[in-house]
Amino acid sequence: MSDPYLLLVFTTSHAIGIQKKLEKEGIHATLSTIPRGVSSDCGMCVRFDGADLEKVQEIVDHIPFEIQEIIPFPKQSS
Amino acid sequence: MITEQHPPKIYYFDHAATSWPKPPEVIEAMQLALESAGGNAGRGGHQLAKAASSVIYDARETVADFFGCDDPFRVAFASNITESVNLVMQGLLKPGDHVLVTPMEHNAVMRPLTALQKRGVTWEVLPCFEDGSVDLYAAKKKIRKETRLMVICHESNVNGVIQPVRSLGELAREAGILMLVDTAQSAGHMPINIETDLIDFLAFTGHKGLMGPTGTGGVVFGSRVPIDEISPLIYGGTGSYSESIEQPLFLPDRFESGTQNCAGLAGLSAGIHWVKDHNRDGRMQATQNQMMSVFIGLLKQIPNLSLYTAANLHMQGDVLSITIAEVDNGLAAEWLDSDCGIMVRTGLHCAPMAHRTLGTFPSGTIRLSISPLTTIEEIETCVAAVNTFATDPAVVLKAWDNRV
Repeated sequence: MSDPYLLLVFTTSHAIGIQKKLEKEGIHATLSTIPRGVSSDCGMCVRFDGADLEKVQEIVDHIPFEIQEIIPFPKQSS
Repeated sequence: MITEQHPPKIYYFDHAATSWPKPPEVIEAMQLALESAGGNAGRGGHQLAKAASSVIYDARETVADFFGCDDPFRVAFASNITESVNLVMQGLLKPGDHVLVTPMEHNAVMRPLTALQKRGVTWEVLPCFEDGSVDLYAAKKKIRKETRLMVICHESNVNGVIQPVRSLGELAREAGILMLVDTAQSAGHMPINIETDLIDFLAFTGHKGLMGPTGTGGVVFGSRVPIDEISPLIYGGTGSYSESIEQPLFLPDRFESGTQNCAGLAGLSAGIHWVKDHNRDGRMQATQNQMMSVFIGLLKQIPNLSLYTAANLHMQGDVLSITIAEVDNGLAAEWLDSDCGIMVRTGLHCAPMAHRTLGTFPSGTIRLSISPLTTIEEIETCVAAVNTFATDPAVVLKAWDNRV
């Protein structure tokens, strides 16, 4: 298992849509609260294993809406 | 406060107002949502908020799939179809635009249109036949270079006439104009596909043929709709772009400000699944068409009764109207309800233009509407009661006069 990544979107509906799509494609993904240091949005983002990064990128390229960005999970402990 | 009542027997013929009873699955889904998905969708990431967001996303997928839309984010929820129609008309139309409407439109369309007229939008009624169905050949001539939108009441809430939506869609596309279809009476009762029926804006309500609760509805946007040109009807918090005081531009948040009706949408989703389950191979629709055919056949035998339906049975929905010579509609409805347990709706049905078209303005009609759960026995009981009234109204009116 690699370090986790966060896929940031503009709205919770998009987060759920992408999470469902990733699961359907066999990629384990969960809904996660957005760390405050990353965004001031009230909603959720999608967390997935960094090992799936390429596959996730490819899927995201074909969805009908824009995402914000994909970032490495910002670890809070050293 | 509503108290539990046990009437002897209810014969419900007011499904055009709202369907009743709702399937048990709808009630269970709503209860489950309130118990297990009680957070605020899109606000926060805790388990109850996530569960609420998932309930609403599932409803969005269910609605999109039901109407043949391949992108669930092109579904925007609203609190009812009146709000949906307002969203499209007020959001799209600008001064100088011209609108064409069918002669059977509900006030949900006519009132916003009249308000828009004061802001420089003009409108005209499409030519029609006696039953209110649009004359396609004459309709073409009504399109002008300023025409921006055609509004179609798919199934009349007065006489049940169904408009030829696909043909009108072809006309709209040839002319390069957009088409808004009000499916308040038709959704759930007949197949509707936003792509193959060439619909641009599909406005729907959840609480009629889709068997969901009141307080649900929305718009499905077709693939050629210029979303960027449609202003939101309501602005406010969406749980997204919270750092900005500007409304988000993307779907569905552009049109969904404020807390969404999670329990209601859980019920709507369950209602749509119920309709799909019961309408496999179109069997529910076939039964309902057969029921309507029997209903019309029996009513035609009653003396002194005028029947308002589609001229062609193939263009008949599950709503019809009647009037009885020399009998006040309101009194008839009161007697049907109090003495027979038969619930109908009288008056103008918020559709004065439709009644003018049918020649029943201003006194209106007695409207009878059925659902997939209506039985032949219920139809026969209703017809027998109407027959009593129509054959000898004096007896019924005397009973009315003697009532304390």
